[in-house]
Amino acid sequence: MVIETRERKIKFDISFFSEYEKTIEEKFDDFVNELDLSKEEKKSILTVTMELALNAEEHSKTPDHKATISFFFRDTSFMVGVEDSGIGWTNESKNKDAFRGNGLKMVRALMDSILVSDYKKGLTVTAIKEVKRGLR
Amino acid sequence: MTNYGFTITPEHGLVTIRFNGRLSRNDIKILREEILNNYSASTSIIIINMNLGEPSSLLVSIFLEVLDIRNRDGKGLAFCEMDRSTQKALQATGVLKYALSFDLETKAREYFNYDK
Repeated sequence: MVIETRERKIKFDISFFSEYEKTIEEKFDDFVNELDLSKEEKKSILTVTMELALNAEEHSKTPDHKATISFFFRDTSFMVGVEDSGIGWTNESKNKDAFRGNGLKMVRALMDSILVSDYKKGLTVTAIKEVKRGLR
Repeated sequence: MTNYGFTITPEHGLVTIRFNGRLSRNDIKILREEILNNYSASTSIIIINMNLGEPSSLLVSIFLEVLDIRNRDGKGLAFCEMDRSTQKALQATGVLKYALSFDLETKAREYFNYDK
């Protein structure tokens, strides 16, 4: 028996020296074009992608000032990954400003699960959202 | 102020902030300066219309700063026209715990007796 899985994926780099938000938005629009997502689902996932990219920009101290964004979709799971080659998850990277540090709270509220791995150099944050419908 | 991704409309005793989409980091910086310098400590009521706004942690940090100043003095701050994801994001970060929220801008204006 052959079980057909329908998936779509994309991976691209962003530079923190550029207006990377536009790049993310364009790549995201292109990626979700073939997916049957609600307006709310799209907005939540894009907001989270921007937050994770901002987090990498502000805290990673990555020497190349870059991060790799990936979107992966299979069946009804949408996965966003943001990977950098910076300092990883350290106490130093925790924000001391009482008004900041809300990005993670937003990510948790808008997605179903979040995974943080720093087993190799840098940090990879992956957020997953289960959506109602799949590929068109 | 119309050259940025937001507009601030001051009326007598009321300031309404509206967005034209996702704000750039520069827009957010300008918005922060504008609000904190001119409106956060003023006696005006502030209504933030999130209709075309996109939540972000940078924006949330401004809202929390403004709330901190205004709640100390018991001044009004209200959010309106939030879709579900904006509402979830603002709720998770504690912003809506300390501010009023309305589904429509007209309802917020009515609440503060600015229904003209």
